[in-house]
Amino acid sequence: MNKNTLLNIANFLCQFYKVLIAMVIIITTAIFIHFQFDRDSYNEWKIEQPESDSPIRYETTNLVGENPIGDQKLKLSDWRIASLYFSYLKFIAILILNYLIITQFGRVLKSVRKLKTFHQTNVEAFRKIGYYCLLITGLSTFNYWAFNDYTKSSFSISINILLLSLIAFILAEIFKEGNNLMEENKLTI
Amino acid sequence: MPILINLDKILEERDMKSNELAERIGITQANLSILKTGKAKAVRFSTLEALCKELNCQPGDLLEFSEET
Repeated sequence: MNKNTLLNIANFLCQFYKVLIAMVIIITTAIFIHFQFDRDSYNEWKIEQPESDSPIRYETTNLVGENPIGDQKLKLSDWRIASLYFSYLKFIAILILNYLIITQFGRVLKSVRKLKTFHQTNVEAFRKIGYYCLLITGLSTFNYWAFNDYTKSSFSISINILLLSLIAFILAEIFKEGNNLMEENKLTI
Repeated sequence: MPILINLDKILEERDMKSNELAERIGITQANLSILKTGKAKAVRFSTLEALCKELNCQPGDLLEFSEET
């Protein structure tokens, strides 16, 4: 597989993923708005109890009410308003940040196709990706799930995204070095 | 930059135009301009050799060290 084919596939995947994220944002927002007006329609909708797989976490779970649900699934219509707004806003913010990360990555791919790999814009793109990943880590830190018979709040740090952020910052430094070498080569007569 | 290029002075002494020199030594006018304005970060030996040959001078005539930046 030559370089251009690989870049074209990566570019296509970036575009596809961006469309997918945009669709998820629209659908989630539509459901969220509809949920405010007609909660009863969602009586049959159930979700799994939230679980965190991060090795660094602290969580508290409370089973409240007359009939604690135990290990059963959670009814969407039982979702309390504060927790619902919190989870919705957090989810949308993370999706938007993912969209921005893919946009920046797409720009890097485009510059590689134009043979401007070590351009200053790529250094900035990788730095932005690093900051976006840090923001996602920050947003994912606190979780608050409150249903009528179930409440769970947890602090957890997503190591994978934190690692991704570190890799993005390292790549930014590598590209900065590359940019310096390119500038030096350009100014060698 | 503390290294100065005396290309303008030598060109004037030789009564030669920049574009003519660029053509003779095989570099672009843009690159010669970078060299003349002191923006260049390095000069290849091959470029220096071509410059000395065309201008009939020594590398020391072209380059000068100055304490002032």
